[in-house]
Amino acid sequence: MQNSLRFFLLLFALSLPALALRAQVRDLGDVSIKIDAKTIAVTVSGATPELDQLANVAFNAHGRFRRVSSGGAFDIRFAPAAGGQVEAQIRKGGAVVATQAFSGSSQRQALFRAADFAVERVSGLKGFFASKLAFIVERGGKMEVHTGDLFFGEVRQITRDNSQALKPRWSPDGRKLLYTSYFKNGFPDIYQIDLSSLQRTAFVTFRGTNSSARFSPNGQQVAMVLSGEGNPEIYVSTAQGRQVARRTRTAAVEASPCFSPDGSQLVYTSDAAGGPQLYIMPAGGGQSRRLATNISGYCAEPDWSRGNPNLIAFTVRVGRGYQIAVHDLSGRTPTRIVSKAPGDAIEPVWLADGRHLIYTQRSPNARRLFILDTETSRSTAISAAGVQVSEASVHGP
Amino acid sequence: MKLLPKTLSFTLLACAVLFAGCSKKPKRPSPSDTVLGQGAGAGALDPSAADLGAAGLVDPSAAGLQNRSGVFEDENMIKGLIQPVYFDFDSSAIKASERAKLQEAQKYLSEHADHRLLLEGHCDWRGTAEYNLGLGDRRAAAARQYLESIGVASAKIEIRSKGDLDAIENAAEDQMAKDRRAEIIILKK
Repeated sequence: MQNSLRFFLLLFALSLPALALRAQVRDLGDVSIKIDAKTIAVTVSGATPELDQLANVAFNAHGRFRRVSSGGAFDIRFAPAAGGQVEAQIRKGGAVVATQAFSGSSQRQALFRAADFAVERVSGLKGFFASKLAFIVERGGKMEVHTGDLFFGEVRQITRDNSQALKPRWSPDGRKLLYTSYFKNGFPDIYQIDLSSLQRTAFVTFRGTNSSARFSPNGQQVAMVLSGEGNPEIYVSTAQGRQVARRTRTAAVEASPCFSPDGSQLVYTSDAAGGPQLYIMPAGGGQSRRLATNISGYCAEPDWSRGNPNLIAFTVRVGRGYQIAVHDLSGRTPTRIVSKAPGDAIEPVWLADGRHLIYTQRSPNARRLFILDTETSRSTAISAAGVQVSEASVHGP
Repeated sequence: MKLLPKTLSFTLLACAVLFAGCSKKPKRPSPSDTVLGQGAGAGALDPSAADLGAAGLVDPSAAGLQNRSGVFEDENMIKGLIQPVYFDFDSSAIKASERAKLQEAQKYLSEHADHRLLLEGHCDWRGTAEYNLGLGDRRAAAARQYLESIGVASAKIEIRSKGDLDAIENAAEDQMAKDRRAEIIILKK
């Protein structure tokens, strides 16, 4: 009796921590099962410290992957190869399943291309590490256009207008940018700058505000906002800024036109219904229809995904702040808020896979660019803290 | 100061610093020219002013200092002579309380036939840049529309939107209300 009681007590005592452990494990287990279903565990390494560091920074920003130190589903290795190339090697269970070498304008760019190859082979998603960015850096009230790679390497100052530059946008061939600047006479005009010569030419300089210029996907047209006829309206011109034709005529504010991936439609912001909302119209002109997102009284700055033509990202007011939302034109998923920024999340621009995007985190007198995985809401800073960086535009890959 | 855009006030400050540094031979004022010298004689310094260090201040907060709401004028323009038209949040309607400022502008133009107006629309820093640029445009246009309704020729009016570019961030609500405005700038040419 004594012994059996002792035995039960011992059993009970032993089971206490086990119970606690089990509760803990179950909690962690739920999370990890969820992650397992959505992420692919990979080991990522480079043969040199530079490649190792950069490859890990890149994969860390990708929501489809979970980096592990061992036992991943795939082992992805990068190594310098002949002629400044970088070779990607993908192993599964010790066996090499793919190897390919990539060149680039630098070893850094070659690595991004090799890493994009690895992303595509392992996940089936289009890679985006080799994207180029244009963005605004603000210093002492001056706003200048800069370019760089996705992880803020090879940053180059493009404008030295000593003024306020706004909204740089890539041409589809990556050779030019359109942007708005107050530099010449204090009025906002649209300029085009050639990235090889840094030659700047006036694109559109009508009376009133000339802003928000964006190329069509084939580079042959430019949509923009002009207020020279009395009210901000959407216009479309040739790639040379000629044959400017009005597309809207309302008493409301129109803003932020963006072409659909096939170039046939425009999505834009209008407050014709009271607050700013999204509208879609044929790019050649015609009837516009409101995109009922039913998510916020303030929907602005839409960006139509090339990677997934059903998706439009935009900025919504939530309470007193702003967050990024995604609307699915196919109707398969409801319109949803995808960012959880501590301050504001604004200025979304899609990356090539139709899943990740870049946005600006804004707090008073601070701007910083982040990569956001719209499926997991994982958000990774790409510009440094303490530098005011905003208004990203993406080119490629 | 509140009325001047950030950049302009910075420029003014920079000029002030520049000119201060440029004067070749600072003229020393003759002691007899100073207020103290003219008054009670050299020995009659106010004893309470002799130790005017921080410790001697009752209230060091400097809360009594006020921004200069002055007029800035150069060969091209006059800023601050007519007060800005203020708008409600997300609105571009001219409030009845703001009409007197536009009436003053109309009166000014009738007395200065060769001058014109630049109406400059502004927004607070909340919201999004491109929509705010449009909102600034519409605020300026609303002011223009009112001016035209009281007889100002449209050729006399230029419009510019600064959107939220010059807005003060992290401001209290009363400052943000001051960012929602149309500046009335007089163009002398």
